[in-house]
Amino acid sequence: MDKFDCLLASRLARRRLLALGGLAGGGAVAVAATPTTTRLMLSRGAEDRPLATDFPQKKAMIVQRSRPPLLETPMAVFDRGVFTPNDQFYVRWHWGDIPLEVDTAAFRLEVKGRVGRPLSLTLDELLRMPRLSYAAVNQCSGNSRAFFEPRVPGAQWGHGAMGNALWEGVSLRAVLDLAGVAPEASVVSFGGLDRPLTDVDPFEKSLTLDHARDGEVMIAFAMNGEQLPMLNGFPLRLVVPGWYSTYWVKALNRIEVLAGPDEHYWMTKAYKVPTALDANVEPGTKDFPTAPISTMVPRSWITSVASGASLPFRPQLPVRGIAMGGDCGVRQVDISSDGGQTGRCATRAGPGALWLSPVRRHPAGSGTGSPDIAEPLYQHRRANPGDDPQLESRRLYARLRGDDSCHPGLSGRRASPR
Amino acid sequence: MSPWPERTTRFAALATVFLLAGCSSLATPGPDRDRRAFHGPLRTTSIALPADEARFTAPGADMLERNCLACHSATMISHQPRLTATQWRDVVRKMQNAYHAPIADEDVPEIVERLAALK
Repeated sequence: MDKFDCLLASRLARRRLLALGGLAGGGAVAVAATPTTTRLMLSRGAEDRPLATDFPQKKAMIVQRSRPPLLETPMAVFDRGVFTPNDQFYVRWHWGDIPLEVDTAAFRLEVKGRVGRPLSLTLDELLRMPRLSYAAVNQCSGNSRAFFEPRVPGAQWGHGAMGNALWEGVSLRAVLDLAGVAPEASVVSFGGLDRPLTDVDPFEKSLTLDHARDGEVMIAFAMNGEQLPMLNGFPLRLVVPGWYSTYWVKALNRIEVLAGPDEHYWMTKAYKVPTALDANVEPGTKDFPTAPISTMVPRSWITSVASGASLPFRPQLPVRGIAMGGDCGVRQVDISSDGGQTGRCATRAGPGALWLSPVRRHPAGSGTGSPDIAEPLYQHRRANPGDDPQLESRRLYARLRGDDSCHPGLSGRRASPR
Repeated sequence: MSPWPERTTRFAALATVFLLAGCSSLATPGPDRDRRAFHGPLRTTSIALPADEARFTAPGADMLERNCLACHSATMISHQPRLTATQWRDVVRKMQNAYHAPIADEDVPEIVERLAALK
């Protein structure tokens, strides 16, 4: 890649990178031997889940469901590095029939529909195309569902239905351009090798043509420098940076360009969220407007102290964690030992970066510290006009909410050949 | 003041190292310059999933196994929070209507009852 691509990748990384620090502090406890269960601290207290090491190409994973696999990344993994290793990257499939074998010589990626020249691309052909590469967070739309109160049915994820990887592949736009998109085209639909067991719509998702052609959406054949694990979508996976993982179609083998909206189940019925601010609605209500889920929101987690942990008192407790900007970067993370009410302290973390700061401890009693520090604290600070000198930071916070200005000059650019 | 500013600077610098490393490696792929870029061919792969041994032990296990396990593991059910019969009925209806699960209508009341009794 040339220098421009370096800048592009760097900007993308800033916008989407999971951030993590590298120094000792609280320290996650190493897993001893091979426990067969693990304890998650969820909204109504502790719940046990199987911890399995026998899923192919995976180390220890929390088994939310064995078939079709829902495998969660243990939180301790996020404390170890800025990239989530492939062998502990979470897994989520919808159908009982998922690809267990892919012959790379026989595999084809079909591009069809409203195109001038339908394509049937081999993997070798894709590997020879100009590449792009960037870091991006992949997060399940249902991540952290088990923290809802009241609890709701669905995959009972803790916080580990997410991961950050360096993705490498070809730009979706380049492939669409190769096929020649017809003038009437407006939507692009994506499907993979997984199949439903009944006669229902296969799992297919779609993006608007403009989004699909933004030069950033990627057909990835590698994550973290290796081919994708089978359970993460080998051999090809769509990467839609800043958007929830439901769009990151795994084992991608067909792309269809449509002239009108995608009316299938997975766009019109499933993965819809309330259009209300922050998608908040009264529990139990059903009659509210919805829209397909799209961009992720800023979030952060403490990783160096396990949730619910009890620690010996120290006047200051070093804390380490990860933060993501959703569809933007992270400029700053504020942390607090009392839910942000008082004693709030900010630490500046570089864009797309770690954060680590000691938190002042207020000894309630003597000798022991309160365990409240172990809870995920709060996610981000809204702009507060007339506050302190950190005007720039506050402005960037506003950007985290999805202001167009957080994508300066990127849309419409072509990835350069290397 | 606490020693934060000093620490913060140090860690911010470390963050920059992360970014620069990623950036330079992206700019110049090559075995010596970048351990992360993908160089190899894609290798034909096959996997086998571990056995799914979880089963229901509660009364009515037969009914649940017959109607639920064709499509998903028992753990999908056992890991749900406590849900009301109404919530379970909605779930079963969704399985029938949205996913065309072959569940007989006359079995739905018992299935819902068994599910609601699990926790």
